[in-house]
Amino acid sequence: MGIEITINGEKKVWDTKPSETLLDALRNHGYKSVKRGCDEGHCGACTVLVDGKAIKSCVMLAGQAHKRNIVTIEGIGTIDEPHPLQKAFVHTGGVQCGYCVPGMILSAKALLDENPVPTEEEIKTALDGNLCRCTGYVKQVEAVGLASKMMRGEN
Amino acid sequence: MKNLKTFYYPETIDEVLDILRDETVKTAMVAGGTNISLSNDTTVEALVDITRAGLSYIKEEGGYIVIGATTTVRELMDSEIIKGMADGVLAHASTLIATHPLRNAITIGGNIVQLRIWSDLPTVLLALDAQVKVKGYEDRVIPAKDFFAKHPQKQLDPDEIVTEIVFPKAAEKSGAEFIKISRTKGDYAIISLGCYLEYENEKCTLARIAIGSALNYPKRARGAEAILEGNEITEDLVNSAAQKAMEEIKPISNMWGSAKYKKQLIKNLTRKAILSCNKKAIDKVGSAT
Amino acid sequence: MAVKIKEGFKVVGKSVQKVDGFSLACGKAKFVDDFDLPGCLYCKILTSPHAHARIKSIDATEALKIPGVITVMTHEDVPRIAHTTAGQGYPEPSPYDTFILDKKVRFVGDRVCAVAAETKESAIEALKRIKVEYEVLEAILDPRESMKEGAPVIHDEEEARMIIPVPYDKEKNLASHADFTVGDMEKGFEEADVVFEREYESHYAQHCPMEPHICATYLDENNRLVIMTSTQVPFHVRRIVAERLQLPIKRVRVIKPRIGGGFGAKQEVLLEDICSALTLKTGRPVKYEMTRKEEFMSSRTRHPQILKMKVGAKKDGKLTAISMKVLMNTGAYGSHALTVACNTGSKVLPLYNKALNVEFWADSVYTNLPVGGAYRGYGATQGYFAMECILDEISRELDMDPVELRKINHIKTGESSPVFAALGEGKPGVEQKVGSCGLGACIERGMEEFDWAKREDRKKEVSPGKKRGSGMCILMQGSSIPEIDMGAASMKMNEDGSFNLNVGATDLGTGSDTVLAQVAAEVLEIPVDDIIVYSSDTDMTPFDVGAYASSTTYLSGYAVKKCAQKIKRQILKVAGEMLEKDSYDLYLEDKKVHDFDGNSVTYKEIGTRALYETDQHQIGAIASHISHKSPPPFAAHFAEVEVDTDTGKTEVLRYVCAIDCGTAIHPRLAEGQCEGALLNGISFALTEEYVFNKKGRMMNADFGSYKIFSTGDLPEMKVILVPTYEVTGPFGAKSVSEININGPMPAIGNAIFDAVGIRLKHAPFTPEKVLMGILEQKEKEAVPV
Repeated sequence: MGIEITINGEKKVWDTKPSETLLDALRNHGYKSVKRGCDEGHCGACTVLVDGKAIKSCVMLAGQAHKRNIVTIEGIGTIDEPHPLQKAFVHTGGVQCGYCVPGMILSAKALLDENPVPTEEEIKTALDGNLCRCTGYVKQVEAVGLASKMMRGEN
Repeated sequence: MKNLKTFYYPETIDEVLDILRDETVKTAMVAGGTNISLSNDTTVEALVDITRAGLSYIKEEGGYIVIGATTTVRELMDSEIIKGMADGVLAHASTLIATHPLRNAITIGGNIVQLRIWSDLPTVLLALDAQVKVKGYEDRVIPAKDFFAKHPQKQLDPDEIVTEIVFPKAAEKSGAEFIKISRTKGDYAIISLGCYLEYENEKCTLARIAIGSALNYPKRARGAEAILEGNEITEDLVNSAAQKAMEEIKPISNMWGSAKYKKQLIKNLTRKAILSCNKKAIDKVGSAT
Repeated sequence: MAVKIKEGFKVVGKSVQKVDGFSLACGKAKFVDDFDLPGCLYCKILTSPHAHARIKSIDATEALKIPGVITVMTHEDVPRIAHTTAGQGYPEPSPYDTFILDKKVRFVGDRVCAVAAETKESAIEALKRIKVEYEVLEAILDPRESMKEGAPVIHDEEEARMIIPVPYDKEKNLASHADFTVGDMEKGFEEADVVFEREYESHYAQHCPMEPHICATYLDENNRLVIMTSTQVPFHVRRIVAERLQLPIKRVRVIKPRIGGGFGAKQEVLLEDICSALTLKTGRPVKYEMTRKEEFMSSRTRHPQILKMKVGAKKDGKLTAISMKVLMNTGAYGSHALTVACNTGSKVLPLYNKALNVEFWADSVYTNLPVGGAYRGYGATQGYFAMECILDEISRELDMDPVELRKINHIKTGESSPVFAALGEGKPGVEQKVGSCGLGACIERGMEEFDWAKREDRKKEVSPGKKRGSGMCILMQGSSIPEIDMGAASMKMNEDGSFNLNVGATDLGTGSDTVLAQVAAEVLEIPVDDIIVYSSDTDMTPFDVGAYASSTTYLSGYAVKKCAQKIKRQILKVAGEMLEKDSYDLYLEDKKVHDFDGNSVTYKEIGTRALYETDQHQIGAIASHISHKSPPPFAAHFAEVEVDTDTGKTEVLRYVCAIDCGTAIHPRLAEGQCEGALLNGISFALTEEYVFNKKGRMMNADFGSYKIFSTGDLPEMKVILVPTYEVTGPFGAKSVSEININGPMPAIGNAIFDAVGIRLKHAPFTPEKVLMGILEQKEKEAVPV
C-alpha cells in the first residue's frame, strides 16, 4: 500500500507492506540512523519524532505514519552543522558507543521544543524510554541541560 | 499481521462504525499501535486507524470529566484537568506507565480494552468508579466494575468501539490515592492499588479500594471497604481493613512477585493508601474553613 | 602516596572531542546493520526448546518449500571441530566443548540448525516448519547437582577436552578447577579472635549492549571470506573461524565497524562461524542479527557463583586468614569457565595482603542452563560481593568502622601479594609489586564527598515507612593479562603533517580510538584531529588481542606510545637534515620541529619532503607491546539507600565512587566508564535477574521484564578521579572500565543491612527479598529466647 509521509521536511510517497513497522520502512529507505535494539518497544534506539512527539518506531506500523510528519536524527543536524543537542552530547561525553544516541537526542529534542528550560526531573522523564548501557546517563542528562542553555544563547 | 492488506483512516466515529460493520473484511482497530504492531494475528486483513476520528480530548461536562478513547497517557499526565481530578491520581498513574515514547503512543482506550494483569489504568478506573462508553448498533455505558469483571475484549462485539471514559468528579470531602509497586520506574506493576474515600462529618461514607496485578483482572476489596464505610477512620480500623484486604484478595504468583509477597503488599499498601486518602480529605476541609 | 603527574601534558588529561563523536551523534556512523550488501541473505537460527536432548532427526522439507528459503544447514553440513566460543588468545584456557552445530542440545536456546533466506520473514517462517525429533534427556538445573554421583553427563562427546594442562573432567561435569593455598589456614584461623563463615550466591545477568550481536559475511572479488562483525576480538575471530571452517587464515578478513557496546558479550565468537558457513555454502552475503530474546537466551551471561567464605580476624581488625571456595555455574559450555573463576580469587584476594594465610578453591561445573562468558568485572564482581559483605559483618562484630577494617588490611604501594604469583589465567600468575596505589586517597576523598562521618545523623531525615542506611566497599582489578596479551599499532605520516593511526585495539564504544589518538598526539605534539584513527581490520591494522581484561588504554596505549616515539625519531631525522642539526638538538612543538636557534620546519614541510622531495620514503612505524605486570586500579565506593519497609523497595539515594586509574588520559571518558559501570552494577544488584521455569527456560527474555535502569531510576552518582602515576602505563595510565561494576552489590547490600538489619546473601536485592527478609527478622525477634 502507498503511504504519504513527510520525512525531515521532504514529502515522500512510499510503497510499503502494511504489516511493516515504521522502523523497517525507515531503514529500508536508507534512514540508517534509526537503530534496532529490541523490536519490542522497550529500548528506544528506534525513537523518531512523529508530529513532534518521540515515538518508538518499532512498535508503530508504517501505515500509522500516513500523512504524519517524521523527523529522524538526519533531519536535525549534520556533522558540518550540528544541532546544539548533538554538540552538547559530544561535548559532555554523552556519546560512548552511540547506538542509543540518535533516539536519545530525538527524545531530548521533543522535550526542548515543548519545554525549553526543563528541570532535571523533566529531562529524566523525557529520556526514560531510551536505554543506554554505556554511560550511566549522567552525562546525557547533563547534555540536555547544556543544550537548553546553548539554545537560549547562554553558552 | 502477515495477512494485513490495508489501512483505513476514518475521520469520524460514524466512518469507524461503517468500516467495523463491513463483514467482508476482517478488521482490527489501531490507536497507539504498541500492542498490535507486535501481534502475530494472521486473520486481520485491515487495520482501522482510529486516531484521526476525533476521539482525542479531555473535557469537563457537568459533574463529570470525559476522556476520548484515543487520548494518550502522555496527554493524561500533562492535562491540568486530569491533574485536578480526584487528587490527580489518574495523572499520577499515567506518569508511572511504561516510558515516555510509549506514553506518547499508548491510549486510554487501548490500555483498558487490551487489559493485561499488570495494566495500571483499570485499577484507577475501578477506584474512581468510571464508566466506559461504547458505540455500536446501540450505545452502551458500562460501569468499570462490570467492564473489568471479565476480559474487556470479551465484552465488546467486533463492531463496537469504546469512545469515551467518564469519571465522576470527586466529592468535596474526599481523598484519592494510587500506589504502584514495581522494580523500576515504568516497569510492570507487582501490585497497583487505587483508593477513594468520601466523608460526611467525621465519618467515611464511601470507600472504594481497587487492587490491580494481583489477579488477571483488577478487583475491589469489598470487605475492606465495608469495614471503613460508616465509620470514623481510626488506626485500628485502618489495620483491620488492611488485614481484610489481604485476606479477601487471593493474588496469583507470577514472575513479578509471589502470592505471599503480593499479599503483604496488599496489606501494607491498603493501609498506606487509606491513611493518605484520609489525610488528603482532612487537609481539604482544613483549607476550606 | 606518590603522585607524579608530569606537568604540562598537552593532550593527555584533557577531555578532547571524541574522534567519532559527531559521526555518532549525527547518525552517520556505520554499524554492521547499516551496510547494505546486495543480494544479502538473512540467517535465522532454530534454537532448542529443551534443556538437554539428543537430536534424532531434522526434517526441513516443508521449510525448503517456502519461497525465498535458500538453505537449511544442520550439523551434518558443517565440519565437526570441537572449539570454544570464548574469544581468547591461543591456546585458549577454555574447554573445547562446542561445535558449530551439534547433534545434541544442552540448554534452552542452544543452536539446532540454521536457515538462510531471501527475506527475514521467510527465514522466520522456515523456522516454524522445520520438524525436529528430540530424545529428551535428564537435565541439570542446579550447579550443586552437577558433580553428584549419577548426574547426567552433559558433554558425553569424545572430542571435548582442554588444550592446556589444567584439570578437566567431563564425566563429572567439571569444566575447570583451580586452587591454591598460601600460609597455614589452620594456624590462621587459630590466631583469629573472630571467625565468620558465610555463603553467598550471585546471579545470572546479561550484558545488554544496545546493539545485539550481529555479523555479515560475504566473499570478496578474490573469493576471500570477509566477516564484518560486532566484536571485541577481531583477530581472535579470524583465527577461530578459520579453524572451525578449516580455512587458511589468509583467506579470512575480519572488519569491525562501529560497535554498539559489548561489555564482554562480544568477546565471544558466536555468530561468525555459522554466518560464514552459509556464505561459503551459498556464495552469497549473509547477515545474522540476534533478536533481543536470543541475546538473553542464546548468547552469553555473567556466570552465577556460590561462594563459601571463611574469614578470621584479630580484635584489632587485622585479618589472619581468608578462605574462598567457589562453585561456579558455567552453563552448558565452558566459555571462560576457568579464567572467570580464577579471577574471582586473583582480583579480590591480593587486595587484603595483610592476611598471610589464604586459600582458594574453584570448581566450574556444567549445567543445562545458559552459558556464562566474559562480562565486565569478570569474576571479580562475584568475588567482591562475598568478600566485602563478610568484612562488613566482621567490622560490626569488632565494633569497628568498616572503613577502618579496610584501611588496616588493604595492599599499598610497593607491596605484593603471593596470590599474584599463585593464580593466573590457565597458568601460574605473575609476581608483581604494586607500583601505584591511590586507594588510601580514594577512601579519604570518597568519605569526604559522601560525608561518611554524618551517616548516622542522616538516618533521622527519613519519611515514615522508610529507613536509611549507608554501606561501603573497596575494590581492585587489573590492567591486561601479563605475559599473555599483546597490542600493536602502526602509524604513517602524510604530506600535510597528519597521521594515520591504525590499531588492532577494538573501540566498542568505550572511546579507545580517542584515547589512543591522544597518546600519539601527546608524543608528537599535535592536536588529536591531526590523527586519523582506524580500528580494526585484520587486513589493515596490526594485531591486538582485542578489547578485554581492561587492557586497551594500558596495553594498546603503550604500543601506540612506542609507535609514535618511533615516528618522532624519523621526523627528527628528516628535520635534522632540513635544519642541518643533530636530532638531539631539536624538539617538537606545535606541529613543528624547532632547533634552539629559533629555526623550525613544519610537519607539512617534513611530510612533503619525505614523500616527494629528497631521499623519499614513508615516515612510518609499527610497534607492539606486552606487559610483565597487570597494575591494579583501585576504588572506594559508598552507597546510601532508603528502604521502604512497607514494600521492601530499595532506592539508592547517593552513590560515591573514588577511583585510582592512574592518569586519566581523557577524564570525561574515564568518568563515563565509571558511571556506566556503576549504573550497570546498581541495576544488577537491585533488579536484573534471570527467571527460569522448571524446565530451565528463561521466562523474562526481554527488556519489558528483565529490567535495566533508565534515567527514571538514576540515582545521584558522583565519580572522583584520584590520580596516581603508573610508570608501566602510557603517561601513567592504568585501566578504568571494569572495576566499578564490582562495587554496587556489596556496597548496597551493606547499606541495606545498615538500614533495616537484614543480610541478603542471594542477590539481587529485589523488593520481595527485602520485605520478606524484614518480616522474617520480625518473626525471629518476636520469639522469646
